[in-house]
Formats: sequence, structure tokens, C-alpha cells
Amino acid sequence: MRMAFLLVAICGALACGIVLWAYFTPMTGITGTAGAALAAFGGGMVALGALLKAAAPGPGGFAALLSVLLFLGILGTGAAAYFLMQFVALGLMGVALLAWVAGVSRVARLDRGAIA
Amino acid sequence: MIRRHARMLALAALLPVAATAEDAVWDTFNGTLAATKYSPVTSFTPQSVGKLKQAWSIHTGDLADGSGTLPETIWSATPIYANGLIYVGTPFYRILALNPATGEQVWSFDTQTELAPLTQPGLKNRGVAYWDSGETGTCGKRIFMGTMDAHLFAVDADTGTPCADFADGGSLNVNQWNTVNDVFPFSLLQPPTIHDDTLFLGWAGMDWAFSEAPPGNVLAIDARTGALKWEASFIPEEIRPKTGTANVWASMSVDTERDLLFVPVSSPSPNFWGGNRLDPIPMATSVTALDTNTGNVVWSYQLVRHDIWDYDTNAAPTLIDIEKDGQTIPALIQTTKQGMLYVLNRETGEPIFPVEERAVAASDAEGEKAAATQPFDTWLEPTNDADAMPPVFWLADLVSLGQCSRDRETYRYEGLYTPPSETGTLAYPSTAGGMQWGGGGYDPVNQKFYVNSSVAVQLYKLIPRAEYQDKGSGAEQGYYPQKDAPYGLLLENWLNWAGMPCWSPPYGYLSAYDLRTGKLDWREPFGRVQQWGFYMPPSWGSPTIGGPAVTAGGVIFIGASMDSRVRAIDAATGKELWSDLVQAPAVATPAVFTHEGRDYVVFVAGGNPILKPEVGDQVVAYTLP
Repeated sequence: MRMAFLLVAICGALACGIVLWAYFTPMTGITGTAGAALAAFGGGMVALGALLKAAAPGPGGFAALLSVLLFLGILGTGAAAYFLMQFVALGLMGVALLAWVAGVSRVARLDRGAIA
Repeated sequence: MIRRHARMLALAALLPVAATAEDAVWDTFNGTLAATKYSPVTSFTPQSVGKLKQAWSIHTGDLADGSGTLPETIWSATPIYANGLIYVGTPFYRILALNPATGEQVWSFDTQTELAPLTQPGLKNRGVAYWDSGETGTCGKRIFMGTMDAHLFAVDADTGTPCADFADGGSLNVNQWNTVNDVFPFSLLQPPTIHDDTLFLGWAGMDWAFSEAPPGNVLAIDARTGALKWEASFIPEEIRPKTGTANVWASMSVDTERDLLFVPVSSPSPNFWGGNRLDPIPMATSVTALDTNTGNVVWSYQLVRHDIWDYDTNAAPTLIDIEKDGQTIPALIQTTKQGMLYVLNRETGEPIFPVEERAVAASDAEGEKAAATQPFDTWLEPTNDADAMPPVFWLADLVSLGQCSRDRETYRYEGLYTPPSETGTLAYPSTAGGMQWGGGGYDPVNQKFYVNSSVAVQLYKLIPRAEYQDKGSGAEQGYYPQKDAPYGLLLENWLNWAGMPCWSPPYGYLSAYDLRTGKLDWREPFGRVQQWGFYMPPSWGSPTIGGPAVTAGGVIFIGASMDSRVRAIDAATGKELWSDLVQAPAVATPAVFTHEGRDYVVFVAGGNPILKPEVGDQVVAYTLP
């Protein structure tokens, strides 16, 4: 489970880096745009959230909230990357989504095991 | 005065290589004096253009985004290929000569013009004109460029040295002929059109700012001396003092065989209220034919009666031949902001196909009397629907909690030519078109005509003088004082609070017409809208500025789009074949030519705030491997 969220964090950080590069590099089509800044911020938040999730994997309201926010962050950053035509970042968010599903499934199984 | 660069020292090496007889040139703004924007180059085909590579790219350095002390640059210069060199003018009013194979600067000439937005919201330039006198020696071949402060410069095409025999040492003060209502200078943004040894000059001004403004004219200037040969005016003499403009700010075309100059005449002053000019002004918002030798009006065809929408005739008509009833008719096709394409006999000005006079909406503004009818062309399908604007965009309406729908109910719209009103009028097409000053491109072999167009709705709101507060304008939006009229005007794109267009996409098209049949071959959404960096779906298209270049290989090259891409389009289907990202929207028509056996397409990426606030100073050339 921790590995899954670490993978989400890596994807988020990479997406953030890619979009930041496009933000600061001249003539990428999205240089200096608000959309690129937003997507970079989103990628960064995904990375941060995933690290928190990996560090605090236990059950509880905060962890559940973090999972939901992480999911929304991945979707939002992926959508932004799509509309910015940053397809590598979009692919990373796809991987992040799969990892998130794996991580959340693992949490759910552990929770069920704890209840049983 | 002159800033010639050190490279001039290697003169022998730098003297231009004479274009070979086989070279396809692009030696005038529209490619040809017939304004066809057609190149006989055949190597660019639907099969080959996917392999296009950037040959070179340069940045002129003449760039300002308006954040510093300089106004923003608005650069729309079509590169000229002639005399074995590429020539471009810049918005800092410099002329550059470039090596077509490498982009290396061969010489430059700085006019030292004050960089002030005297008549325009930014520093504008649409390029230069080339003239070959047929004589040898210095200034046997010349480059001409105008400035916003009404000076026309002539320099030697080989070296950039000012032509001493032209006016005052190579500089002509055109404002000397600005004698009626001279509230602004004759801004020479569009390069002159040249036929034989005569330059034909129009100019731009501020027709939105004043009711009484300089009346429009075309000046014929001796290319050798700068002497005035003749002047043609488009407002009747007796009413010139109380109105103005009906000027010619766009490019012109020439029938060299018949010695006819075709000029697109703009609207009178002020733009959006005409109570001061109820007298007939039959040549305003017209296409007019002048005798190139005398300036006499051969014919004039008015496209908008009593124009109160700023529907300037804004592009050179394209000269074509039309087959009708077994006869070949010398014709022209005039594109318009209002979305109609008029096909006229270029010898007589008569419509070749029926044009209907249709009743249009009346004005309710004080002192105004809108024309009761307007001419509607019936042959070619308009680029923009004259009877209905695009429906309200559901997403914009949803985001604005119904604001767009409420606007639609509140504001006047009764089809094309609904007059501006105090309530507010939705104008479709907008003052930015419809079709813009790039005009269309024509393939004379296949008799196909290609043109890009925008789908945009604007709000025109007349503000009574007592309530009017000028808060500035720019990029075809903002407050327009119309000094001495009972109204100022607020002009805005019709957007919701979030900045989303209230009308449904697509926002722009590229169309192909078969001029043998008058049928629309295809119409495809063209380009992509970009907002905050986000690209909208291709099916939404983009508003466009700048025209297409058509090649004999069956490919159309065009920038024009909001997303700063330049594209190659399949002329047969309208499908995109290739694209590349450039620095800013490439709002100049590209040039296509052959240099030393190699074919090039060259774009200038200069930007235009009408599309988006992005400026550029890039000249970029592409060629096949």
C-alpha cells in the first residue's frame, strides 16, 4: 500500500516538474500561463498528498479524506494536462490513478481484515 | 539615421544572389498584384508536407508587450521575397533584409521613428513593398516602408541605403497632404501597392475617436521622386468637413492589363453613429476601381449602405476569371467582415450573380437613420449566417447561471445590420469579422477560393454623451469616444462573467469554394482556441487574423489561429496535414517561394491582441529535407 502511494507521489512530482518546465521554457505553447501554473500546483499537491498518505496509512477520517482529495487531485491535474496538451503529464496521472486504486484497495482489504 | 551592420563589410559576399528565372517569388504583400496569395511551388504536397522541417528561425528583437515604457507590438508583416532576399518591416519601423537560406541578416535600416501609438493601440507594421525600376545602380531596386507618423521611406534593396532622389533624402512626409480635419496623422501601416513606377498609398487613423476626421483618400506617388501624381478621395467634397475617413487601410490589388487599381474603402466617421453623415457617401464601405494613371473612379460598388457597424472593406479584392454562360468574365471576389463574398465584373463593377436588396432593422438612436436595405450576395454561401447568430452556448450559460440567455433576451438582435442602440445590440459578425484583412487565397488552375473566417459576437452599446466616460480601448474592444457625436460607444465581446463566449462554437472556419459552380467544397473548423494555456477541442476552431497562402501542390499554408500554430492544410479536403508551434499567433499571411532551387514557406509570428495578449518577433522558415 505504501509503495502504491509512493508511486502516486513520484508521478505527481514528475508531472509537476514537466509542467513547470513547460511554464518556464519559452515557446512551449503554455509558457507563463495560468493553466500551466495550476497544473503544476495540482501535480505538486498530488505528490504531497500521496506522501502524507504513505506516511500515515492507517484508517480514520483524515486518511479517507486524503484519499478522496488525492483522487480529485489526480483527475483534475490529468484534465489540466490534457487541455494543456502535456501528454506525458497526462500519462503520469494515468499511472497515478492506477496506483491510487491499488493503494485504496489494499487499505480497504486491511480495514476489512481488522474488522473481522 | 542609418544603422547598418558590420556584415555590410563583406559586401561582395553579401550582395544578394539574383533570383533565377525558375524561382517562384513572393514580391508583394498578397503574393501577386491580383491578390491571389498563390504560389506556383509544387513540392509542397499533401504527401510531402508532413516532412517539413524548420530551416531557420530568427528573432528581430523589435518586441514589446506593453508592460514597460513601450506600447505593445502588433506585427503582421508578410515577408517579401524578391531580389534574392527576404525583406520584412518591423513594428519598431526597421527594415530587415535576410538571407532566405539561413535567416542571417544581410542589412537593416532604422527609420528612427518615435515608438508612440499615435493612432493605434500598439506599434503596428504590415511590412514592406519592393520595386524594381529596371535600372541598375543604387536604388535601381527599392524597398518602401511607411511609419505610424506618416513618413514613407525608400531604401536601396541591395544595401539598405536611403534613396537620395526620393523626396527628402529617402523620406517622404505624407502628412503634408493631410489638410482636412487633421486630428491624427496618416499612419502608413500597410505597405504601398506598386504598379509600374507608381506607389499607391492608403493610410490608417482613428475613425472611432472623432466625428470629424481626415477624409479617406488614396495617394499615387512617383516611386522615383516621391512626387504626388494624383489623389483620389472617397467622401463627397461638400461634406468632408463634417465627417471623415472612408479611408483605405488594407492592401489593394491591380489589374495590370487594364491599369485598374482596386481599393477596399472603409467606413466613414464616426464608426457607430452616422447622424452627422446622413447625406449619401456612395464610395464609403465599398470596393472601388481607380484608373492607375489618373486616379479617376472607373466604378464603385458599395457593400454597406450608411455603415454604422465598422464593417470596413478590409482586404484587397482577389482578381479572378469567372465562366458564365460560356463566357469568361474578368471578375473580382471581395471578402467582407460581414461574411459575404461579392463577385463583381472588374471592368464594370456590376455583380455577376444576383445581389438582393433586403430590408434590415431600423435604428432607434437619436439623430440616426439607418439604411432601409442592404445588399446581400446570393451566389456564394456566406461564411457567417446573415439571419441568425450562433445559439447561446449552454456551458457558458450554465456557468453564468443564465446570464447569457438573459443577455440574449435583453439586447437587440434582428439579424445582420441591426443598428447599435442605447439598450445594447449584439453584432454578428463582429467588427473583427467575419473575414479579416488577410482576405482569401485563389488557385487559378483549379478555380478554388479559400478563406478563413471568425465566428464572434460583440455587444455595441451607445452611451449618451452626458453619461459617457472614456476608459480606453484596444484590440477592438473598449470605449470609443466618437467625439462630437451624441453618443460614445462601449464595444465588448459577448462574454459571461468568467470570460467564456456566450455563443456556441465553432469560433472559426476555413472554407473552400469552387468558383466554377459557386458551391462550397468544404468548411472545416480551423485552429484552436486557447485560454489560460488550455487548448479547447479542435472542433471549436478559432477566431483568425491573417490570410492563407495557396500552393500549386495542393497545400494551403496559414497561421492566423489563436493557438500560435502554423499549419499546412489539404486544399482538397480541409484536413490538417502538418503544424508547428511558433512564438505568437502568426497573423501575417505567409510567403511561399523558391530560393536557389529550394522551396520555402516563411511565417512571421507577431501576435495580435484581438486574438490574445501574446506578442512575438519571430521570423521562421520551413523547407522539405
